[in-house]
Amino acid sequence: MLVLSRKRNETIIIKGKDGEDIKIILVDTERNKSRIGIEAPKGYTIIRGELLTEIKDINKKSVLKDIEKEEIKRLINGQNK
Amino acid sequence: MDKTNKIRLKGKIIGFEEFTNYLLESPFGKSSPFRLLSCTDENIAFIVINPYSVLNDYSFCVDDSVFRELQDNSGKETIGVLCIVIVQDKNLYVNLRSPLIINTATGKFTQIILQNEKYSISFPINVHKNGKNKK
Repeated sequence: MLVLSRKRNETIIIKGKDGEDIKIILVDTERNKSRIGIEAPKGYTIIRGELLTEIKDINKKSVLKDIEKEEIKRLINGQNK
Repeated sequence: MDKTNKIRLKGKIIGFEEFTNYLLESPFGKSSPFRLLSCTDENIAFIVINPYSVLNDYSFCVDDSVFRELQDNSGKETIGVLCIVIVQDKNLYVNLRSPLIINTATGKFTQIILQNEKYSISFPINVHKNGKNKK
């Protein structure tokens, strides 16, 4: 991994092969926290890293267990009334 | 959805990238909820619902690249949106943050992640009876 030191308002550019660059700017910094601005071309989804982990976890929790099937039918039928 | 209430889908669910073939069926004879079953592992099954039945003003922007990914050479395109249901302690939640975008004409789908933080990954649904929104 490339690690760079940046002062406030300094930027990092990730040069895209097709000329579409991603720009990262250090907006503000405190002791344990930094605010980072990101500009990316269309087609990029910018999210916090932990969100992807949370979505993976919740997808895993969403897999039906046999015990749940009847319960879901009851709840969903109730909800549609 | 044809007369048998089943369609084949091809795509990936986040965290389940090794599974790409699914069957979407309508077990209760209604348009939603559906059951999404893996064609390769019978232990992988999800309940998915029409998010507009939970939040009628649910809306988001999708990049063109998502639609391009779902297209095939036929040029057919009918886009549907479904969200995965989570069951926890007899309560139902729905993941509105990462909906499934489905081209119902080709059967291709993808699970996207919304950049907008407006929608929760576990939005409670069985507290919304009769369309009342308590939140």
